[in-house]
Amino acid sequence: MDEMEFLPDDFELVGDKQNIMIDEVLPSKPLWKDVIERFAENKGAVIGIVMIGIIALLAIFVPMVSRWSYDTIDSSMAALKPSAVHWFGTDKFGRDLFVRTWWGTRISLIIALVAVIIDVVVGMTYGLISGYFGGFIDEILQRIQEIINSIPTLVVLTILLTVMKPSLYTVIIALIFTEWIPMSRITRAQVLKVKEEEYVLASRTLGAGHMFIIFKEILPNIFSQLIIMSMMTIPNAIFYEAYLAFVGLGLTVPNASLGTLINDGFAQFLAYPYMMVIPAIVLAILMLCFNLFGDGLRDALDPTMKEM
Amino acid sequence: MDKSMLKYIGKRLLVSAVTLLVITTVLFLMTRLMPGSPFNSEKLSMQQIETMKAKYGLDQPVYIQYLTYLKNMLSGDFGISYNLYKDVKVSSLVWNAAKISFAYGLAATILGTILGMLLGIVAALNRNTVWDTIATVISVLGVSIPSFVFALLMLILFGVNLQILPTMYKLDSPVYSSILPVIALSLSVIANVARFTRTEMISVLGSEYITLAQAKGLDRRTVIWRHALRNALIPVITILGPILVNLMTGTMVVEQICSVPGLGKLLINSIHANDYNIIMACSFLYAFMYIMMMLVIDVSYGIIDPRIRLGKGDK
Repeated sequence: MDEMEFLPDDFELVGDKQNIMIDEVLPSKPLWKDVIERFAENKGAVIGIVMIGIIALLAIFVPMVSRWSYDTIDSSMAALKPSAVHWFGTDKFGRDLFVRTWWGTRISLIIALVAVIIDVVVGMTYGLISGYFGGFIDEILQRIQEIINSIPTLVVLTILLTVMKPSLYTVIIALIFTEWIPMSRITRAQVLKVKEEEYVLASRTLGAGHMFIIFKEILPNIFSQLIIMSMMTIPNAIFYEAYLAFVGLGLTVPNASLGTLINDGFAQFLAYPYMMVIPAIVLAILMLCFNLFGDGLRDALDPTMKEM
Repeated sequence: MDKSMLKYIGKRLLVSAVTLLVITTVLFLMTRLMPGSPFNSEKLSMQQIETMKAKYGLDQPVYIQYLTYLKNMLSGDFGISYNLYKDVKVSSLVWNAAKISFAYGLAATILGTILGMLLGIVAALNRNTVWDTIATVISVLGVSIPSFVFALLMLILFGVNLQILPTMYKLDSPVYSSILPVIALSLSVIANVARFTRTEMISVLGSEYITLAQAKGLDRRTVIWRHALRNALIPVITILGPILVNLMTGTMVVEQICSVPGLGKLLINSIHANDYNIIMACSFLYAFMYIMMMLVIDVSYGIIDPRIRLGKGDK
């Protein structure tokens, strides 16, 4: 380290500037306002939610208003390159890929939402029961969860692949099998933490039943954790849907999801790369935005969980 | 290692054994009770199919088949392939495929860890500069975008447009063919490791013993290399476990995309061909590796960094 020399004006007195006698009162703000403010400061998260909004609108309205439909086969227009008429080109059956891509996005989003809803219901209930009642029930539920958790996703998929036909329901069932465990773990951990709080004790002393304590005392206090967790599930579900399409568990034609579109395009990517690249990019953007949004929401709802 | 640790490991091994048995049983029942059989060829007459079934012991009651399978499995015999590779021993088929998959996974892990650490260190040392932004962008992209999308896009760019890398696996030049899938797989590793290294490095650089080392008059290089790095990098080992599990899932599709003759491709092909023994062996190997990895991860958490046992939220 270099030699240091101190000059007289290196230091200055700051003590006088703050008057400790004046008590500054900050205006009180409701929680949601605080959350929104913190969220709005996060540039990535705002970009994420705006992009998600745009993609969702495109997914809802493009298949409705376009003059092409996602499943009309017209062999006279097969495998056209992207042009002013067909913005994303057409596939080998002459179906317009612009409409099909947004139709696929719509299906992917629906799958993700359904998976998240069922997931939250299953995972949350499991975690709540396990954490709240504790003891013997907890012991058994945790052992069961341990065994299910140690079965790799790949093996679950293999079993499903051998037993079921590819369809929308298979995809959702596959997602339910694998995705509820993190949710139940978070719920259980949070419930364990909250149920020892004094307000729960107070409520119990006043004669509240289990249902009242669970729904009125515990759930509202762990809700932000659950929202964060369920937001993280969405990109996961979108990824798994695409993944399933690749291992042969996707939707059946003429229906389409982003995964099946990429998979179909992959079959002829040497001749028509655009058929695969466009849905792949939409998938990538969608997952990126949901991740950004989820991270922003986590930081806004629970600043103590912030990682970086 | 104390007693409670040994007890914990013992308990986990027991649970693992039970899980493996459950998985084997469910898989066995599913494959046998399924519609469709390995001999679903139109060229075969009913009688020929019966002969084939008798030859492989598939005409016996399911529980006898199951017990025979378990007995053989314990002695390392996973049976033979029915139709995909006629009468070849499954253990050698799976082993050959696994060698390729393991090599890819290992290469992607090593490459990803080294690059990720470098990126994380550079970002932490140059906080809030261009380097930091680049590292953040790379890690956000790598964490969010699945490896198979990278593989697809790289295949188009380097394989089709620039034509500098092969689009298919070439048996005569395995190293050349492995470049693309390994890079695609390593991107998520780079992203995760870089993110974690950066956070660790920043928290270490802010700690008091680093201030002490600087106050002692050590030069910047010594402080970073001798004092900061070691403490920042050891915890990275603990996140390699989840990363490896992720890689295992990723390889299955990336192998399919780059037509690599690895475990994932073998498994998918065998499912489509109803080749029971290969399905069983591949899934068993995946499950075994996965369970062992989870065990090693959980044990290593406690040994390497006792703080992690408290969980991240408690810090």
